[in-house]
Amino acid sequence: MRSRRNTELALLAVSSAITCGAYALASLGRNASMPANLLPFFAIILGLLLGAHLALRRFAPQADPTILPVVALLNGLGYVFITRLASDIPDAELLPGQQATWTAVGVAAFTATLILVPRIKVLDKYRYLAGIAGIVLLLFPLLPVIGREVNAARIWVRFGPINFQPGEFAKLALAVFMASILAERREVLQHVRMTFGPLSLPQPKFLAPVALAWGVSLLVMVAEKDLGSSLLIFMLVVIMLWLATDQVTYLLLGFGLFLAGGWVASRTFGHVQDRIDVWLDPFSDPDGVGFQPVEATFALAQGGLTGTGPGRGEPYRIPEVETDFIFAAIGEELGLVGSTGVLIAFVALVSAGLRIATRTRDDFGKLLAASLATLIGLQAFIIIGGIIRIMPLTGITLPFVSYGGSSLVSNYVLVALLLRISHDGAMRPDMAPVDEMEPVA
Amino acid sequence: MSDALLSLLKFGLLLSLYVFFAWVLWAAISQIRAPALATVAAPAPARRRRGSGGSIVILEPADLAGATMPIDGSLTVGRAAACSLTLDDTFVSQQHASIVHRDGKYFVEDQGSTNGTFVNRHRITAPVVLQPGDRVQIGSTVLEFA
Repeated sequence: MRSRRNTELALLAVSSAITCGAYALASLGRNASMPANLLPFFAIILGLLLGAHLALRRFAPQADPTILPVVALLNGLGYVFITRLASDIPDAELLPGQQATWTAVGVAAFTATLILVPRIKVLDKYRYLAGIAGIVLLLFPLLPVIGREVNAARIWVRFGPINFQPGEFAKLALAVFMASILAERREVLQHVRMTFGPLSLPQPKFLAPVALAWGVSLLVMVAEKDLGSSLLIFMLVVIMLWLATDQVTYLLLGFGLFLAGGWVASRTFGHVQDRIDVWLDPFSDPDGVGFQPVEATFALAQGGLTGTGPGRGEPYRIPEVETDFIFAAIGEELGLVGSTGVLIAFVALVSAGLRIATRTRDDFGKLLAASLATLIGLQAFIIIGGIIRIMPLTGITLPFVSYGGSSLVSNYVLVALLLRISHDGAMRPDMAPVDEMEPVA
Repeated sequence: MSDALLSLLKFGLLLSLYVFFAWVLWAAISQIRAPALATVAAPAPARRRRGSGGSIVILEPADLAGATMPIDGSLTVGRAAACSLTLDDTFVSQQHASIVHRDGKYFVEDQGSTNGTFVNRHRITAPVVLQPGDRVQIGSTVLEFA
């Protein structure tokens, strides 16, 4: 099946060409001149992507061909916008270089994941390690000295010159842990049940590890005031329970819990109530708490159908535009058509993930693929939904597009795992793994 | 540079974005259409043939597919020429496995092979009673009990 990798290579060539076109156009729009470093830029992008592509050829040749090109497009488009914004935001001239470095680290992590996880089953063995690692990573920012508080949220850790958000990796570890536990107990969860009136739920003891990890991680994230990640993990677990058991009850119960929890949180924590107020009426305080959503709304309105053109808008007026609000910058300069393209890219990633899940025979791989796809989709949904104000805004990065090293690297690891499951699933499903057998003398 | 030209370039960029997505969609659809189990799908009808037991049909490798062997009391599989079914496969031990007819049942037993004998993908550690339709894998050879 060499043709899968050939399709991927062709698609990668197109996505790099689009990235370079956008880069040149953003420079033309701003300075009416071609960027001097266009060729080296093109060479670096091609080099990185070719590295990831060759890693797939070598370590997962049967994997899905659409994921890497779509990731490359999102990453490239994000980089173009970060570079374009960096020249207008004060103290931001280092951002493009840092983002490029993190992309290289991301591709290295992608390759390392493919090598270290030769079969997805390997991860199944380390389920408790993954669960503990997830919780420990989440706790890191609460430690003194290395933990740091930025914008009231305590989600950063500093080691020497490097700052990162361990929570980004905790999400992956928790997904592996929960997929492994739920896959193992799938049958008891479905058949050994207790009934409360119209509700029929599994015996609580079978869900204890999942409930424990879920409860602890939510508590920690609430303590760190990391609303976006709390919401992400909450929704992820509800969806995983539903996928593992085929019981819609979990979705209804999750939605009920979400409303109840949201109501309690809005009464208890001032910052949650602020978010809801700003969501319902940002214009009540357009120069204060409503400034960011109001500016984002203006940016999207300015963009109209096809946008002002790269480099020709004023998205730099929005605070945090290079990270959480980068979608608003794309909406302003590429318009509804361009930002819809970003949505399509996420739909393509999620549908590739679900396609992989349906093709995988093994329960753990199936559930993990579906949860990884859900993670990407939810992250995009939570932040884009917040920007276009269909739901309250909770700060979270747009995967692959936003500036931010931890997010970029962890999402590269995420797609590497997805591609690994894809490769496993495409192997002969009714044969024992011949490639693990030893030749007999 | 004129606004009209920049707008034109912008439209070109947006168009190429959607051409890219159309191609991704096409690649995804051809993934779904491609039979995932191409090599295994062909002999599947044999599985439905509820034989009385007492013979094996080779499903894999493809060049031997369909060959049938009766089990007269017992049958040995291995790389040694003395076996009833000799497999030229580096993953197969000299004396790999045997199928024995005893008390009206057929048992498959591993003969201490290096890579094991698999029944319906599970490596066996003790003699296993075969049911019609069961698949026995030895190295890269798959046999169906019929």
